[in-house]
Parts: sequence; C-alpha cells; structure tokens
Amino acid sequence: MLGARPKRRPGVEVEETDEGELVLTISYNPSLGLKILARLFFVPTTRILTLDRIGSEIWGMCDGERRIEDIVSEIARRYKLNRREAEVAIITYIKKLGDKGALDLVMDPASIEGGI
Amino acid sequence: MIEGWDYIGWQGITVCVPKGWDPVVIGGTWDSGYLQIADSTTIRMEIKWKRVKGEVNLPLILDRFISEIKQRAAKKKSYVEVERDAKLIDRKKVLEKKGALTFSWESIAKAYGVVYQCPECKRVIIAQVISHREDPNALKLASWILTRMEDHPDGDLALWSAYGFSARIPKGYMLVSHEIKSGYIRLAFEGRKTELLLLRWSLANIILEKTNIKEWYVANFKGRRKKERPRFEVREWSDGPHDLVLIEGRKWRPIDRIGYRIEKLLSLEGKYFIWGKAWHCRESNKIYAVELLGGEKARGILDLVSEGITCHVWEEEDKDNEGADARGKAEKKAWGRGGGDGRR
Repeated sequence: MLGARPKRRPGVEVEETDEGELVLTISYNPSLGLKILARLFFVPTTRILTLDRIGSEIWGMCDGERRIEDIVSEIARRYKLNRREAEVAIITYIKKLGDKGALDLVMDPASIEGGI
Repeated sequence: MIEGWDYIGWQGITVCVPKGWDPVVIGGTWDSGYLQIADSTTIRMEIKWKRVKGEVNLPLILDRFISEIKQRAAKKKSYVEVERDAKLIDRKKVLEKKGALTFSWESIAKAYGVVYQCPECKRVIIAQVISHREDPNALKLASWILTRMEDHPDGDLALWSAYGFSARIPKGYMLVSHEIKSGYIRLAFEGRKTELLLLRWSLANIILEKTNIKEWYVANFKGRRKKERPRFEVREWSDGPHDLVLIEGRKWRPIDRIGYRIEKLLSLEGKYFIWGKAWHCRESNKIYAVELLGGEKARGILDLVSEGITCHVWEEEDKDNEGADARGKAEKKAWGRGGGDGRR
C-alpha cells in the first residue's frame, strides 16, 4: 500500500475556499437501478467533498508520481508527526478519497505480489 | 539517550530500539500482556509477559513457545529451524544472571529471543527480536536489545511511551484505560489515592489556529470534567518554546463539598482536588497535558509527572565551552519538558 501512487481522477472539479480548503465535485455515472429511480425521484449525479487543510495538502500531492510513502514522509515532516501516526491516518484518508471516486491508486507492477 | 535509538516503555517493560520502531499492538495489564513493535515495513519485536507466583518451569514454557512457532510455520506451509541456547553476544551475563533461556529460529525471517522469570516482579517474559533472514546484523541487534531490556522500573519512576510520547510517572500507578489514535494519545492511571491522566495532541498549529492554549485547554478541561463540576483558577505563562496553563481547583458537587469537610475533620485524603497543567510545545507542534485528581497533598505529583514528559529535543551552542573551540562550537542536547509552575 505504501508503494502505491495515488492519482487525482480526471473530471474531478476543484474549487478553493477563502480559508484555503478545497471543495471537490465528483461526477459519477449512475447505475441502471439509479437511472430507473431517477425517473421517480431526484438522484444527484455529483458528490461534493470538502477537504480540510491537511486533506487539501494531501490531495495536492496525489499527482500519480509520489508514492503514499513519500506523502507520509512529507506530511510527518511538515507537521512534526510521528511517522507511524501519520502513516495510519494518511492511508485511511487516501482509501476514503479512493472509495468516494476522487482518486485512483496506481500500483507499480513490481510491488504487486506475484507480478512479473 | 543513544543517537538513533528510542525507548519504548509499557507496563514496566522498557526496551531501547532503533528510531522508527513503534508499538503496533499493545494489550493486557501489568500481570499479563503483549507488546508488538514494528518498523515501517514489518514486525521487529514481540514481548509477552505473565506474572506467576512461585517458580516456573522455564524449559517447558520454551517448549510450548517453540511448538507454537512450528505450528504457525506449518499452517503457512513454511519451514522453520529452531535452535535452543542461542548464543547472544553482547552482555549475555546480564541474562545468565536472570536464568534466561535463549532461542533462535529461522524461517522466512530470523529471530533471536529469551525466556526468563524476573525474580523481583515475578513476571515470566518471552521476548524475541525479528530480522530479515539475510540481515548480517540480526544477532548483534537482537543481543543489544534483549540484554538491555528491563522488565520492571529500576527507580521510583516508570517509563510509558508510544508514538514518540514519553512520560515517566511514579511506580505503582496502574493503567486503567488508554486511547492511542493518530494525533491523540490518552493514558489514564490510578494510584492509591490519586488518578492521573496524560494527554497529547498533535497538529497544535491547527488546533490553536483560531484560539490560544488557555482558552482551548480550559474548554477542553471543562468538557472532560463535566461530571466533577470543578471550581478552579487558571494561570498562564510562557517558558522558552512553551506556553503553559495551570488549572487548580476542587470538585464542587454538593456531595463532594460535604465529603471534603467530613474527611478533613477525620484527617483523611479523598480525591477532592483537581489540577491540570497543559503546555503548547512549539518545537514539537504538540499540546501536552497532565491532570491529577487527589488529596491536597498530592499536588507535587503533577509537577513530578510533567517534568517527566519529554516533548522535544533541541540543540544549543555552548559558546562558553573553551574545550569546544577546536571544533568551533559544541553542540549540547537538551530535553524539553513541561516543568515549572509559573511562579518563577
């Protein structure tokens, strides 16, 4: 997991608030079930996520180049966090952003067990 | 403190391990527990302890432990080679004095370990240091760590540390609850007539962005002590890289006021007084707090414990040191602590 490179998903719209926090608007294609439901009820086709200051910094580092390990080191250094403390929080955060459709995780072929 | 090494202390067990090794699994009590320590990639050390009254059959305990290792390896369809009486190289006499049995095993990893019963605290300790199979320093590292491991506090203070948080508190306090989360650590202890609470928050610059340590800590304290409804006074001061707040008060529920008067007449010491000391350490970007509940005479414990919390290390130039002229300057290391009561 630490070797994975999180990458911002194309199509995610980003706005910055006055306080420097980021607001992400994530569009997604509704499933067939949702499309049917949308004929009867209002079904949103976007999801809005507001990232706090550190979350915004993490988002900024998810460029598909840096590994999670690098992000952990950088955040731990900036905020003087214990490395393991930062690791647990950042991995959970990146997983959450991935689940919400804001990020993709790019794995190095070599880091995948059994890969060639 | 040795450069590049850190102490980990839990339930009286103290180990000096390379920096970057942190506890990942913490469980149990003083009488029986388990501590697992890992580096950034894998498990590096395991310690199990159990208090047993009377003498124990150490060879039998080691046999059982070895068969557990073999069972685990068999489950993973992996081979394991076990050797008893492993030759630890460094200060092994320390372990011999304790009557320790040593062992080693090699599978996908390599480990060296010890089993012994401490004659003083009566705890049976099983500890092993795990390394990569190809690591040429595995034996040296394991020997160094295992021969320096302590199973009970040597002096009057016991070390408790996790994730860079390190505190020395009087021996005899029992951990009653703890929370270790990213950015927040809470350790609650109970002594004979006092209760002690140690707290640490990370990301202080963000917590205190729109407030100050006094306002923030007082609100935090009030929220945490709602049940006790304390009446208190607050004092704040600065000391080097620290902004400190001291709360001194008393539980103010009618039952506590009556109880206090009665116990005072009988010269008893109930837990009616409450103190809280918090400091913002700018060097480490953290907020530390020590809270104490106890009798009037317990006040000194607050200072003793806050003095025992290491919050940062800094290096300062010792310009007056003539001996250092050859090197141009000498660097001196000092530990930042949350001491003092602001009356200086």
